[in-house]
Amino acid sequence: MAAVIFDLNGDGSAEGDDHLLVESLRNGSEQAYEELLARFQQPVYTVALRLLTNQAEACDVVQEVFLKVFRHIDHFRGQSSLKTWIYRITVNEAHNARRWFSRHRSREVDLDTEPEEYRDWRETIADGGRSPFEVALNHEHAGIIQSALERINPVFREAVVLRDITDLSYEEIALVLGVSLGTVKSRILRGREALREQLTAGLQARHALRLVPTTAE
Amino acid sequence: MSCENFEERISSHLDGLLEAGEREDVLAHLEGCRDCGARLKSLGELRARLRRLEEPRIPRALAVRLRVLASHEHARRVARATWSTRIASWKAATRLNFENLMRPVALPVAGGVLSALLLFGALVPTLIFPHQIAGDSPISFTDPDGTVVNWTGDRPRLEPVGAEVPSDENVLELTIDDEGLIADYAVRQGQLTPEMLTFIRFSQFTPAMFFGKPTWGKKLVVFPRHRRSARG
Repeated sequence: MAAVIFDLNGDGSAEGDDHLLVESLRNGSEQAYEELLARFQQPVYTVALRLLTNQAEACDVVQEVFLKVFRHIDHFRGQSSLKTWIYRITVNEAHNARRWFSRHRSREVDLDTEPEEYRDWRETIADGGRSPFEVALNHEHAGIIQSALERINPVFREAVVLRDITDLSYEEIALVLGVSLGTVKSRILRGREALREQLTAGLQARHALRLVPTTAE
Repeated sequence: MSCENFEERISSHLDGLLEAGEREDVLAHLEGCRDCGARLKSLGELRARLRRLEEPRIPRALAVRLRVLASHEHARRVARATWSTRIASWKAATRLNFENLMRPVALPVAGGVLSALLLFGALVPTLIFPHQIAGDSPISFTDPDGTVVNWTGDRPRLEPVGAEVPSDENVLELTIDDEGLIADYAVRQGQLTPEMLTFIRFSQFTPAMFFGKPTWGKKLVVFPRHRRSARG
């Protein structure tokens, strides 16, 4: 029943949707829980992974985030949108995880030698649109960008990820991070600059490696 | 505008957040400054790259764990909920179970009930329900019975109206009212004899009953003809 209600309001306002969803969650509607996961699990995972760069940590954070959302939905007052609220929890959880892991990770031994890769059937069948070269190049670019993200200051990283990957507005980012609009602008600016510096440094290093001349006998 | 000022605005410019005046200043600066143009270009490219970055698909194991988590939290919330929500939840679960149970048998059951009704409807007219209750007054129509007061000769025979009577006998058809008195008579067979007139005058009947109430009725009275001829 509830799923139908959400579908009917699919083209309605986002706030109305949020309100309905939150009400259904509070009333313990089973469909509401599914709806919340369907809407937010992928974006939350993306943000967590971009902020933490480690898949296992990101998974733990996503679980924590949804546990908090489910437990504290009664305290959600609707002053910000549901999306902003959930991203705020995600950023905080990622921040906590980063601190915790930086303290404890050195003592851990990883039992999982190969991180689990989820491969959908769409990924395993041939993709006519992109050549393997393009896929490889994209993959490489993604890797370079990800490692550049890892190296910049987490405070700037949060702002850049929320702006350029999650596509939030400046106002929303200010709400998520709990800072002023001016601070958001400055963090995004400095984050992008730092990222650009990291990337150019990385690319220069790679080019330098590539350009090592081979000796011809 | 100096390069430093431009740097401060470059990010907002990329996101299209500058006001018209500022944007014009920025564009004017870009025309004259090659370094800043290159910087804007590289930042724009970086931004485009970030936007194009493939979304990392959520691992299946995590998706399953989240569903389990949601299920636990749902059960927890329902357990702590007020009675009304708990009852609503039970109702929903019961209805679901009932529907699942009924869906496979709904058609056969409907068909069975319909055919049973049809069969019953067809059979009912052929069924007879005899009911005899002791001590109850008869509710169906009965013929009146006659007794004759001060009658000395042979009693004539009483027959129901439809009865077959041999053609050599005199037959009188009497109409008897609800008090058992003769209201009318007709000779059905033979001739009216003085014996018959005496009978008509002096006989008395118990009235016919219809659903427990006395009512009008008819009766045949048969007088053997040989007796008349013997007397004559």
